[in-house]
Amino acid sequence: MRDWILLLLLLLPAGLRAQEVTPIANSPGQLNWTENQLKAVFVGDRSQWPNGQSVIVVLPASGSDSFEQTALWALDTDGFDYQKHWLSLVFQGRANAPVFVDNEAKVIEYVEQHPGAIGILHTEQPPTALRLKIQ
Amino acid sequence: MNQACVWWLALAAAMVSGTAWGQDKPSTQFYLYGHVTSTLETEEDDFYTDFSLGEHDLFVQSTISPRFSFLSETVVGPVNSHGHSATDYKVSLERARLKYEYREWLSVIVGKMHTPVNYWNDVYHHGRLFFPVIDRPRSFGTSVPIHTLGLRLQGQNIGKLKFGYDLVVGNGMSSNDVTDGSAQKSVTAAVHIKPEKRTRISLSAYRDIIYGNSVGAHAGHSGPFHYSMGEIGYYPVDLDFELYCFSVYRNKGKWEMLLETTLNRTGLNDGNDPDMVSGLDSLGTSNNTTFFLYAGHKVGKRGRLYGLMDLSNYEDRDLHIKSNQLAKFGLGWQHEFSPLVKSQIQVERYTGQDGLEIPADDKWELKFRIAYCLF
Repeated sequence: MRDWILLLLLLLPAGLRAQEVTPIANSPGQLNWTENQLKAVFVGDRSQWPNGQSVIVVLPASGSDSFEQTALWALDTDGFDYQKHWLSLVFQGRANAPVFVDNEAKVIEYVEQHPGAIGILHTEQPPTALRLKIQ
Repeated sequence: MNQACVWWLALAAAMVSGTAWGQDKPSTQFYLYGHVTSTLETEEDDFYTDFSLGEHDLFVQSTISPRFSFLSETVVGPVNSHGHSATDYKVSLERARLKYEYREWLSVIVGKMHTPVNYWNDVYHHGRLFFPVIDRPRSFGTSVPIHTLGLRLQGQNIGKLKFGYDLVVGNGMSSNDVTDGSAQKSVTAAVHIKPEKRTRISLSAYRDIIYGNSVGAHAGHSGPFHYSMGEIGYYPVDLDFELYCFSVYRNKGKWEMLLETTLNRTGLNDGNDPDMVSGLDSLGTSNNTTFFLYAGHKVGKRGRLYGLMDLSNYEDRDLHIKSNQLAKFGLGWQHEFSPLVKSQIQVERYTGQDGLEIPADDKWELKFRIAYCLF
């Protein structure tokens, strides 16, 4: 029986496994957000922390696996559409441009150094102090 | 001290306190949006073809501090983009606005901006890369006041329905690009909800007075549709101008659609000299409508097959826009090479009702466009 369960876990579709994300933030205190509220930040629908401080969205370079996984998690789409989505939001003037860095290690580095910054990790392990707990 | 003064003082204090902790250096990004378009047109037995280098838009977005941001669009474009008469280029500052975000439910924006009357004008602007079809709806150039220069209060993503509002007080359609010279201001009130991802439903109302039936840089009302000085039917009278818009945008699964409708009412302003208006043969308020519908279906990973319909109906009692009943139908194909480059090819049939001031169209057009963004 245990072998069957292990086999099932191994065969989990890649798309499902991609939904496991680790949010990190240099945030003002602990949050009481749901995952959907967190996603709202990554689609430009939320621009401030609960205390009114501005959120700085940090994303890995477009074209990277991590960017693709963030696109799937946040907007149910691929990196191609996700990049267009942000391009359009910035053009409308309804959101500030996200900060793009090379990879997840740089996401961690940027978030550590900038109060209000937030990122999503799919492979890298974050420092405990940055880990954002979500409801 | 009245309530308005208290409110403004409170807002000013909040803005000053907001800048205190915004110590990071500004983050500024530059983008260039451009396009090349080719048209083949057949009308009766005549053929026209052209290649045109369209608007090139230098877009700048700067996050000055966590709460302050700046945005501008400087466009180099053909002097007259209607028909085949463009002979030169001009530089135009299309947007330059400073935004202070106090909370998500209140931002204060000052400067020159696109009036947020409908989805198209609020979202696509001069970025042809974002246009779902090759041309703007026909209501641009007739009913839609494209710009204003003034003050805007904005809130967005409020509550579960992601309610948003925009309230704008700015220079009216008769003003020039720099100043108004009048105490009268245009007023825009727009609301929208986003009940799902990539879905937006918007409603707006706009009101202004057009002085001397003459419009300036902000109106965008140009070309053959608009009465101009010296023409038969032109009266230099003051006009009350109202515009109501309803827009729906939805992108779900493989389908994308955009509906834009307008109701425009134009009538004589009460301040006109009675002697001047008594002899007019077009009294009363006109009720003009436009209807634009686009629907596209994704084909493969990067293609989209789409159709469009663009109808307009302007009554003959209108003193600002010449009467017309025009229709345009189109079928097109879009291919995206990257998020920053796309091509569109579109066949269009123009038709309409004869017997009005703008003669019915009776032509076909085949258009091809490449739009791009560099940054």
